[in-house]
Amino acid sequence: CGFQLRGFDAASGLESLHLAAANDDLAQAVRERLTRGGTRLDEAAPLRLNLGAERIRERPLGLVESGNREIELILEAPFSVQRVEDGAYLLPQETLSVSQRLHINEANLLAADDQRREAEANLRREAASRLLDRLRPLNER
Amino acid sequence: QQGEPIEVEANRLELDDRAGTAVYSGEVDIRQGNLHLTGARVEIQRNEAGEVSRLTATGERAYLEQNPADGERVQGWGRTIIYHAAERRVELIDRAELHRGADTFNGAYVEYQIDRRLVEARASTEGTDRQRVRMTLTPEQQ
Amino acid sequence: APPEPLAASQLDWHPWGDQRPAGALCRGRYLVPDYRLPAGATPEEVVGESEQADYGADGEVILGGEVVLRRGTSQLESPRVRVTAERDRALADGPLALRDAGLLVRGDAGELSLTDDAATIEQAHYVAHDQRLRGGAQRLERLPDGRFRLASASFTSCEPGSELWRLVTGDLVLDQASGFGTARHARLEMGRVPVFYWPWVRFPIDDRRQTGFLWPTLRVSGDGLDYAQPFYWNIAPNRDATLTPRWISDRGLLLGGQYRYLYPSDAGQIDGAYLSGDDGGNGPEGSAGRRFEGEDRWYVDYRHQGRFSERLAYELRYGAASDGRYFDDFGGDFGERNTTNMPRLARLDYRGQVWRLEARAQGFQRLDDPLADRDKPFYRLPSLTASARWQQRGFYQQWRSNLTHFWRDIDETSLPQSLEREAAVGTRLHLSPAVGWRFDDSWGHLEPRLEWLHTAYDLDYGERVTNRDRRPDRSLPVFSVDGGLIFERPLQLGGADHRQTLEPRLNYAYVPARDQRELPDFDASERAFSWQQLWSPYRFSGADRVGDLNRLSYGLSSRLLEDASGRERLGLHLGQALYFEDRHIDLNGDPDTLPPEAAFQRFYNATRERSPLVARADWRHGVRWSSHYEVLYDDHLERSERAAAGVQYRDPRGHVVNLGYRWELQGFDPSVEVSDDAFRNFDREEFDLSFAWRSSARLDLIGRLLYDNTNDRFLEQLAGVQWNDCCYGVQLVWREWVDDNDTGILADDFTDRGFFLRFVLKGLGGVGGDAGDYFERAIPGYRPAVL
Repeated sequence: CGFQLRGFDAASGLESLHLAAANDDLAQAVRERLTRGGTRLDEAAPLRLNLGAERIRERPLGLVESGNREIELILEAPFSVQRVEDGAYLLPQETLSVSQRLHINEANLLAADDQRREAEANLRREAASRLLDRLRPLNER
Repeated sequence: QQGEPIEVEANRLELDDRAGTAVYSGEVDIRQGNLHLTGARVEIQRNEAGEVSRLTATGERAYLEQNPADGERVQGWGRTIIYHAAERRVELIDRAELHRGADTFNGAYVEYQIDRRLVEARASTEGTDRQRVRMTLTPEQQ
Repeated sequence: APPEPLAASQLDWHPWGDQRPAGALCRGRYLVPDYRLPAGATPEEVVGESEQADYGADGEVILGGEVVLRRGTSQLESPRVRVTAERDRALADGPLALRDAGLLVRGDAGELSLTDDAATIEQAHYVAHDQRLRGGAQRLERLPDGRFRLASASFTSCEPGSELWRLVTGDLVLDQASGFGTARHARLEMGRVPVFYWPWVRFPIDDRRQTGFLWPTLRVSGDGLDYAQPFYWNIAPNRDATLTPRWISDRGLLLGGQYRYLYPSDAGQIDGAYLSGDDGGNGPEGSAGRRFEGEDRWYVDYRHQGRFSERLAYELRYGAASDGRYFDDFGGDFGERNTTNMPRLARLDYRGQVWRLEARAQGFQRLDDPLADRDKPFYRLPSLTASARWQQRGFYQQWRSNLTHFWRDIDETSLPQSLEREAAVGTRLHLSPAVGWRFDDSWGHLEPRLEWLHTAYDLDYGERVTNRDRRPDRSLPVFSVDGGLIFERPLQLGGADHRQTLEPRLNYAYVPARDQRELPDFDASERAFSWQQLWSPYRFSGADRVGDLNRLSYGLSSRLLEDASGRERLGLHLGQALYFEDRHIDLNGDPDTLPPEAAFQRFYNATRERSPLVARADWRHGVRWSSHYEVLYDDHLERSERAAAGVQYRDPRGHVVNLGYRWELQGFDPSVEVSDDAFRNFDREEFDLSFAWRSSARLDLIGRLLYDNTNDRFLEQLAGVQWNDCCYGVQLVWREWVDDNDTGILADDFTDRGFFLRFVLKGLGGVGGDAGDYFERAIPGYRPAVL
């Protein structure tokens, strides 16, 4: 039915990229995901990824009142991709947005804090791989 | 100053002794002391003592200039300029314009009293259409 | 008092009449007429026109008859003007009109400097066309530096003829360069009725500064009348403060405040409020709302983040409240309560190339009243973490270590026998080194990983008599292997090139069972099952419990990506886990026992052979529609344990509709014990409808319905109107909601309702602040029109 292993028909990921990003955990997750995907981070690369600071919002699902709450964590970050030589925007400014639902149990606030930080780290990994999806089509241009 | 001699250049001269007036016409250029008057037609009237009492210049753009020894130069234009020698007063009538030092005045009628250096301008007078008085005033450079 | 306002025609105001454009909020607009005279040759030259002009003996010029003077960009019209001999001033009789860029001032008499921009006008009426501000003053002075100083002035952004609101002041200074007005003895008048007074106030007069100044909030709810009047003080470009006196009819005067500062390497803010002698609210005697009657009620919340260097960052946070019900009684904008605990934190974080070090002191004040000892959270005083990672191509080594001292202030002898494990305080050392080999390529990945967990305690049971071990420890391995392939094929859909992926994934995890009965329970919590849990070997969060596990997870994902942008249009995910052994470890930590069959859901979770089948879909139909589905279906008992569905509609014109459904089996979350507040004895099924409809540029209709299908009751009903007019905005909201008194028990729920009116004065720096964020949280995707 036409399925092939990815990467056989076209180059896999970007071969080099300049990551211009704020100094936060999202940038760290993107840096790790890019290097793991085989992309060399290099200031002199032909393409530059501008990654804004992450913003994590929380939205209560259902009524907030009771001790056990279900919330939706939303991570958003503005990004764009520019070709360095002429500054052209290959990907104009856009907001990357990923979200995850999370149970918060007030009975154990330390556990709730740990689980929330894990969820945030998970969101950053998810955002990084979404970003890779967006960068993949660029290497043909 | 009233008694100073008048030099006149003009194309034609008509004398009317009875009325004591002389009318010069055709590029008339009159000088009396530090006063200079030009116009297409200038009428000179004299009083009983034979002194010049009034000069009336008319023309498309009659012109008056005065360089008083102590004050600033004054220049005036108008379709009609009347110079009252005794009162040392000038009337510029219709398309009147007066330059006094750095200031300029335009309007239908501008009256200037030379010795007292007073100017009075008005946007309308009989015989002219309404011409708003316009002026430019440049503040002293501190 | 300021002079009576002039007629609209005198203020360059041109009503639209019948050809009013659709988006126009006001009934007309200001139009600046052209200059009546061309400018002079130089900006300093004064050009004039009049009916007559007299050039006085001493050089003074007197102009009369419809005089017009023009100097640079300003133009003066007056019946009579006297220009001094030095030509430095022009004295004009009224009624005069002074115009400049974007400004008109009419007055009875005036004096203009001809050497700079200074001017003084008596009985003045002014209009700032661009900012749509107008008003009057006994005397209006334009200072040489361009600022305006007005004596006994008025100020409003309402269109001429409207008396809706105005600010009347002793003196008022408007500084268009910095965009601020400063007033003394200022009072706010609504329709000529004084509403509020300030001895001194500074406020933004253009929309550079988004935070609002005067948006009084009026609430009529269970607690009677609740009137909050914030005023904003911009101390410096990087520091500002808001003081919010709030008068609650049945409680008293609550003085709230916020101070924020922003420096190059650190920033922070402190919020707080104080009410002395709570009058108790108007609930019946002995009701929850009156529990702290007569006492002082306050809260403070301080946050600060900063950075010492590129690698070294720190964070400070301290929150405290006078009592557990503070936010119940004085909570959010519309009675909703969004603060359930006050975090306290001091964190130092070093991120090196290889090593990452963190020192953290953390605790919480849990806002729950009454708060039993057993519910009091532990403090981490401190928690020291060191982690590092080395990588040689695929092979990697990880080091993670944590030393934490747990402490809480309770009477440990009062805890029941069943909770003895929570009676201790003490120190825990937790080491979790790991080695692994990660193969990663665009077509797939494989990662075998072995982790060794070693945990040791030094416990102190205080006066409690117990034979539990004071220095227990535990060591065990965690083995996992995770692998996946990515297949792809091009796909034509709707005329555009797409790429569809097929991503099978397998994950095996093995964790042996170890006896953990002697171990305390500081921060352990059993995780609820989810898509993420399929791929994680850890059944507990925290380090006090490590759940035994022998399971294989299999999953298949398919994603539809737009070729051009790489954006994911559709994501389908399916997954399930096979358990080869029962899961014995729970909070009791006994490796040989299972939960009693009476607690059916816990027994079933420990012994079932297959996890629920997880099916998820995220679908972006087009620009306007998107939807999300998730279901955890137990194919053995043939029932859904948890399900959620959501459809969102976003219209560029501003309309938003959200439809949501949530179902969760009772007992689904294993971390909730019967004695917890959050325990509820019914399955949870809710329908959630929220919408915002921008029916016109002036009117937003807002609504939300949250229906509890299990107990056939509405948890929340909200209907709101946001009226957006020329110089003011009104948010009118009716909200009825269930307050569950911090417990899951139905019996103690009670319904509260309130009518909320929020009034916004436009032109005074526009509106910002948190006015809209309640709506944004209640109605996802809704951006309230900037009033």
